[in-house]
Amino acid sequence: MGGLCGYVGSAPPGVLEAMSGAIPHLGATMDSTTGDGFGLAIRHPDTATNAGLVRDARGVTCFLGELWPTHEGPGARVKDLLSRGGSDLGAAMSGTDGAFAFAIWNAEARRMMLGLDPFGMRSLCWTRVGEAFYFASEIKQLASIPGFVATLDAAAIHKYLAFSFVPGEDTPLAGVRRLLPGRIGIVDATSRVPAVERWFTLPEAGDPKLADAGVATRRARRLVREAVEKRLGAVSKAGLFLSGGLDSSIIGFFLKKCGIDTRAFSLDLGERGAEKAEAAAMAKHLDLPLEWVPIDLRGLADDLDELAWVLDLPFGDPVTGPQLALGRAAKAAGYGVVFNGEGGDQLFGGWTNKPMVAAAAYAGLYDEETPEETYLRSYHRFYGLEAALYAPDFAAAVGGPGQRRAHLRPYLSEDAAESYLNRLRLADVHLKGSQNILPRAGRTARACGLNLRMPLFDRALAEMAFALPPEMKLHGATEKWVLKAAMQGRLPHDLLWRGKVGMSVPITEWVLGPLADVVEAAIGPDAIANRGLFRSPYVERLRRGEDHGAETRRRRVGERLWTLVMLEAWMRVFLDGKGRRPGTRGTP
Amino acid sequence: MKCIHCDRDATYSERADGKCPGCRHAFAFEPRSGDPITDSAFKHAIDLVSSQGSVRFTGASLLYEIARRIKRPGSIWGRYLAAFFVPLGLGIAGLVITIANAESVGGPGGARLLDLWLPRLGLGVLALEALGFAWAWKANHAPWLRLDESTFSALLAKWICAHGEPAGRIIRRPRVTASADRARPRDLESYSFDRAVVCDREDTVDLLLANNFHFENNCAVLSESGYPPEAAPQVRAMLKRNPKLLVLCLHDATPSGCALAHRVRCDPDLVLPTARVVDVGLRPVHAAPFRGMLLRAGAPVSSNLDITKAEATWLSKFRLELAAVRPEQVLKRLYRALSAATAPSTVAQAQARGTSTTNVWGGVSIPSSAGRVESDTTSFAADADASDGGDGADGFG
Repeated sequence: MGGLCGYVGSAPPGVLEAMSGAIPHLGATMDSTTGDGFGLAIRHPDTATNAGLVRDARGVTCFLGELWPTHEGPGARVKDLLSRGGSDLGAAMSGTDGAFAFAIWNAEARRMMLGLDPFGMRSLCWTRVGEAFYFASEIKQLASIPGFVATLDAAAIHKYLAFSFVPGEDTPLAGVRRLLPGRIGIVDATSRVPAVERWFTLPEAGDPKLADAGVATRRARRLVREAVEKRLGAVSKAGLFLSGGLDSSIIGFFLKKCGIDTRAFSLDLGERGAEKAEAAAMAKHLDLPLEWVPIDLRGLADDLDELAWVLDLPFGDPVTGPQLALGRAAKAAGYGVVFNGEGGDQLFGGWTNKPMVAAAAYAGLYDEETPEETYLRSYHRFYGLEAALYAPDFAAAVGGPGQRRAHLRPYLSEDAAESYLNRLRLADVHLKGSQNILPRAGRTARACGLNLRMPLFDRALAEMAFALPPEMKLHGATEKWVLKAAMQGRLPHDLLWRGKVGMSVPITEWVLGPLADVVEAAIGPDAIANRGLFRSPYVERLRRGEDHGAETRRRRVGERLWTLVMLEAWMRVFLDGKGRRPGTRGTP
Repeated sequence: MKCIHCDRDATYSERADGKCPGCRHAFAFEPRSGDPITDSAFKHAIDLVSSQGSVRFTGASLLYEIARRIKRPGSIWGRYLAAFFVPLGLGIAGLVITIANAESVGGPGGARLLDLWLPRLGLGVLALEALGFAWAWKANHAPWLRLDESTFSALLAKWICAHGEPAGRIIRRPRVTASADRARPRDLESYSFDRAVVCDREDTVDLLLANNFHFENNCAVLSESGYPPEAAPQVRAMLKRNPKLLVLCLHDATPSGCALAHRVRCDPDLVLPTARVVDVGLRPVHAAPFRGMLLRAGAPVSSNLDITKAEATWLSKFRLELAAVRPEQVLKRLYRALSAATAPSTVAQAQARGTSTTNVWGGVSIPSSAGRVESDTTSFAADADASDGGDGADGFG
């Protein structure tokens, strides 16, 4: 919970109050400090124990979040680690894990060090306005800076339309950039951009011992248990977002094993929802009380702009609304800490590998297509459909070719990892995981006043995943084999070894049915003409429930429409509303 | 004739040099010189076969689309009019002759002549009308494909000469180039597919792969004979790594095609005995909408385990190629078949018929249809639309 912000340089008075005031949903306690050439502020709930400003003779440390192994005064610990880092920051921070963001002002050097946790549980973004370099947890805080002008970055939107989120350092606001996870950035008063250094990487480092299936499964089981345990702290009761799939069930198993009073929350999506029976069976097996959470579509329609505001960045996955509903249900039931099973697919080879494996088996027969292009198609949004969707002016504004592929090349090129599967894992962890799944899940939970823990995004577990022989992740056509084998005899056999079941959010039925009016308001012909970004005929075709000829899946219609709807909602809030919370007036 | 570039309608004299008088683009075809199709009809065929440029297609698919647009020689209504008026004319002539004969005989003899021949004449005319209409209907509804490959190739060559390669036509890269490019990841053979589509024709493999059916559905696609050769050996090795593989067999309605699923079922080098094999291809039962698209059979066919007696009768006369189905519909109907085969109720039925075995990797229960071939004749029976296939039965992508 909470958010931090600050500046380096000369800023107008009251700017820290404005920036902290932009995130009223993240806590009531505020603290700030200013000095010669810098300012720092933090906002967090009263109950937060690992957040605050620490002032000493050498400067100020602003720390937010959790650090593992747990440590008294985690901010000081990070500062200590960094000060010992010398030229090898990675070595100094080895073993450091957590869900944190920090900003450390070095009074002597007159520079600010910004940093983020390994996987992106927390976020930091920055911009330059006037004579100061500003940074903050959320872009809505930057939008509140006096003199900040919110304009759209067409290239970032171009990427969003392919990925369903904005990848990399870009944000959809021109001039606003992000610090990526596992990195520190150093700025001084003259910096246009931070000097960024990476302290966390996931190298492919095969461990011969893990070639033994017994050793591998035992280690996976131990590390998952430890990942859950280290995130418990003093927690005695917790909520669990239980999908009925493997990953959340494993977390439920270990929560129960640790003696935590656990209540499961599952989405009730009616007849169209998948995995409902599996969630019920798994809760019964784990002896967890299970609360079904229905989706109020009218409520989702009414809250659309609020959802866009909470998410801070546009996220086109339709799961965000249901996630907000789950979070509200958990909070209403009296839970402050919730767990989920996100991360298993990214680390251990979920179903997303399979299309890429199929593509690699036939690569090069008809066209030259790079793995990056294939991976972009796997998002199933608008990659390859630009001519049908983009209005001429927008197409001209998005810039040259190769921008989207450039985000994937560091992970998918042959020198990123020897194993093809591990290259895909790197892309999944660093893009889909760190820049999509984690931020959207974290922000919806925090908006409900929840502290969300995602144990499978654990550093030790991730490093083990990249030390495993690849075939222990995807074994034949069995996904996440090592996790399944690790839980053999502990979870019901049929649920454990069953294949992947369909995605649970029936978004096409929603957007063509109960949410059709919301879709029309957001991307009907008038709205499309008003924005001038897209061509109406293709959008209208989607709104009629039709897609291009080669598309066999009806779900793509809903996914594509929702991606456009969420973008429009985001633009209403952050361009038209200048980042103010929907329903509020004046300065936030 | 309209120009496909500038839409100008040019008279024959205006296009005497083979070029549009408006934009000076060349015409590919000149119906007055015997070409059976116009440029705009050919373009329309390309638009249809490619679903307005969104689906890639094979030359065979285009041939069938062109065949749909080529007019049958002679007039449909002319045959019906001839079938009506020729017997009528003969009847009138017969009537005149009969009356003339009756008058020349005169008296009761003439009257008897009329009584005897007029009903016969009437019946004869009616019989000729019936035969004539049957002839006209048959001539107008001939079952045979009305465009042969050499004519199509000549038309395509003219089109390419005037307008370039049709956008979206699948062209395999040269084998040497494709092989040289394929630095396959070394760990690929450790993995497998959830499904495989085995085809009887290389064209069908090309159609599915070039339209990314394999990518969208985590699905191996290969021909029984090992096409595409650059990928098939590795793909076959990968298939062996999934004991729960679902195999769909997609084929023409030919004697060999109708037996494909059983050959696949019995080929231990292709699939493990525990795999499910479902025949989803074309059979004689699918032929009704394809009149005018059929090919002549080669030799008489006998019924056997794979072919019923009624199918053998049909297959003795006809063949129907999958290329007669528009590419978009091949993809959608195949996805419908895939969804039907993976629907929980279908899987439960297959499991009930089969046995369970145990995998050494973690005790996986494997449903097996134990030597049987399942049959799905529904999925390819009619067009699939946007609501077909469902979302819940398949979890990928």
